[in-house]
Amino acid sequence: MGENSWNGYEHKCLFANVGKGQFIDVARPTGSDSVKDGRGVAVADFNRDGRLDLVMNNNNETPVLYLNNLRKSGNALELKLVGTQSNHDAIGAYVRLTAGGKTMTRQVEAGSGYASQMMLPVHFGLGKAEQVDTIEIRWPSGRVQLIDGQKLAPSVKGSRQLRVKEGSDLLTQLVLETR
Amino acid sequence: MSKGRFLKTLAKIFIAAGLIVGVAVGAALYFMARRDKEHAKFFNTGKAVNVFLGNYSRTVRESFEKKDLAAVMSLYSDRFWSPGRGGWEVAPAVEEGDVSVSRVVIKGQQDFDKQAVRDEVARYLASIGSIKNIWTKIDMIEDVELERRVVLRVKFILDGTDPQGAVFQDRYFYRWELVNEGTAKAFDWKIVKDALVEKDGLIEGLRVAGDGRGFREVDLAAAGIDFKHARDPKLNAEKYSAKMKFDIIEHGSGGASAVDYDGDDRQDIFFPDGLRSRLYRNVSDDSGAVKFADVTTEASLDGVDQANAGLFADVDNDGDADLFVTRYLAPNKFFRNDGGRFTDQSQEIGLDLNSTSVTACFLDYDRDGFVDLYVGLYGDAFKDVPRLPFFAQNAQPNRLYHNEGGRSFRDVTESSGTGDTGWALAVASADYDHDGDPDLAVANDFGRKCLLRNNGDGTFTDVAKEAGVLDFSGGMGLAFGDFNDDGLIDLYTSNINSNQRWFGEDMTVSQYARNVARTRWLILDLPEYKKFYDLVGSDWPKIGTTIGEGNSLFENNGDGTFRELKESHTARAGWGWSVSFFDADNDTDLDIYAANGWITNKNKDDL
Repeated sequence: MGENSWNGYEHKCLFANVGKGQFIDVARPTGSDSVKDGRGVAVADFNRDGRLDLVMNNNNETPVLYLNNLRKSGNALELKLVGTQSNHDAIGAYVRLTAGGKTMTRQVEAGSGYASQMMLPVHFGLGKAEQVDTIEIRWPSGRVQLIDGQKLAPSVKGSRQLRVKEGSDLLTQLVLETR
Repeated sequence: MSKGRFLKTLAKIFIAAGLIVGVAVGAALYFMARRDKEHAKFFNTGKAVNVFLGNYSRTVRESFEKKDLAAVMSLYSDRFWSPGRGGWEVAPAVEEGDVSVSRVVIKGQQDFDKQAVRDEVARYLASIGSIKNIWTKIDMIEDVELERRVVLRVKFILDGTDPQGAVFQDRYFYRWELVNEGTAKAFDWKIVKDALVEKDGLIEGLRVAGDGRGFREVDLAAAGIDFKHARDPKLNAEKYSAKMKFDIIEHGSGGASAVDYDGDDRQDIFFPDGLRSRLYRNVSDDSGAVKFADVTTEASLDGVDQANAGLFADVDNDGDADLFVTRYLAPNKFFRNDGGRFTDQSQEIGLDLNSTSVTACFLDYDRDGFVDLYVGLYGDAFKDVPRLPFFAQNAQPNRLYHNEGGRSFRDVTESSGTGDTGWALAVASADYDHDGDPDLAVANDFGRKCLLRNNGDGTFTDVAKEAGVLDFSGGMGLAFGDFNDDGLIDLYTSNINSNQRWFGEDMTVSQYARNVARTRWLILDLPEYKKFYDLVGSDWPKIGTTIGEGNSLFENNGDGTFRELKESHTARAGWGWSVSFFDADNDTDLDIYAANGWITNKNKDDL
């Protein structure tokens, strides 16, 4: 090997979901195309602006921390789930959120990718929607909890993080920001 | 199983396996001598083609910089002739969030000779303001006449800026016919015919452009992160190569974790490391900038070396995130978190397995309110190589631990049926069948994926074959997520995508089978061939091409099976590592980030 590379200087890929099972790699024009020897990647909202950031560990190199600064970005809601009957982190919870006529699904997980872990709170991009209609949480205990979007503050413009406790109607607002 | 029955079963397996591979191996032995010679020619041809592709990149750059087409045109044959080829143009752009996407279209049906290509290359180079990188790589080998002619699908990537300053990337897939106009000793490849690759009427060629600032790379020093990954010195190939059977292992490490370890609703970072793992606390204010502080010492986490993954979960339900660290050829570690300070309780809690752990995930498989732990184990690089490079089964078994009320962990691998012995690199959990309990998936290097369906009674069944996710390859990572918003959790896997290497190196399955036939491994491996055959059946010779195809996206059909979306354009992600589903642009659907790279050294020319 010596000074030679093997599969060196490879572009990281950001596959943008363009619908109908199609994706387009937009890493280069979005500036997320590091060519370091990437390994683990942790996805999290490090600056709490509702946009997911990335930190990547690179073999024998310094890491890369990308702050998500996409201009055309929609609204977002992040939910931190706290289990009571379920495990405290609600690992395994399955969350369905309906907003703007569309329902999205996320799950709480602890360990995925390659030797990596993303943040525990589930993140929902909402596009242009300013109102959440419903949130349905299937907790690991089996309990199904429905949250009426009307109970959330009038709009979710900007970004918001909420804490939801299993079985409790009380939602704690963590951050409200306007960008 | 009694000893007698065991031997009888073993004999049966040997006979069955013998019948299956016997014919193939017999044929291979027969043709061996002749084929070996051919294989050497194949290798030389591949090597020379790789050199040619490197020259192509270089001459495009040279012609651009010198504003003289001579360099690049010297790689086109004077006999160049593409009948009915038509001109290639970039269609107007479509906006996709912050990015504009232009597709390549074919205009007209005129024949192209060398002069016509020359004019087109000139127009193309004139549309470029600056060039940063060019790659010309093999995507697929379509036809080979040894040492004389090859037909290749070539991936051409050019990073640059356009004359207006926009950051762009061009990705073209060409079908090139190359002819050796030199000799077998001194190759002189020339392009004699070219075409754009079309799939389902769609041309595989596009330009993506934007401002290049959608993701801002943070200055690490300013953000308070002084970490640099170090490999485990105990795996140093230069020092220990003689003792190691698989010394490439030292390049593999480096997970990353996001965690709110101190409960302040800010996401902190943990880097597992070969020398010194570090915990960085997020101490940002809400100005939009980020700031971290190395709190490893005050959190009592100093001294964690030989680590590959650090996973956090509140195992005792006391409200803070405890830490499990996988270590390779060293005891795993568990640290209990009490208010931001960690205490090493690896032994007390029963998570100090000293083996080849590389990865892990938490899941509450029996839904008793306490998270359990699944750990993926690789092979032992000092003792073993992956026995069958496409179906290695000689690693240490993965482990499942049951959390006993937050007090200790009990190894339930055997009773749960989760001890797969592939060379595991990644594990993840999701309720893919939507029956209420979490299932498991494993990505194996030199092997296949496992999908372990949770039976709800403390046992798991590997259903990867039935579910259609065997995905034979060099498996490196996997992620679950519902990318099509149908409420079903889909699966994306990362694999090695490197046909370049496949062609240029001595690595085809047939050659492997010939080599193996001469060694005692053939006898020892028979049971594994049988298992392999049971999984893939008569498709086995195709495994060579499948293995190099790259990442795989599997759509969940909702009936316990998955369908691979081969045309999703998510496969070619290089030498894959971590993959994540996330909504990058908050437009409601899940995008994918895919890391890659394998041995990036000073010299940019690949081996």
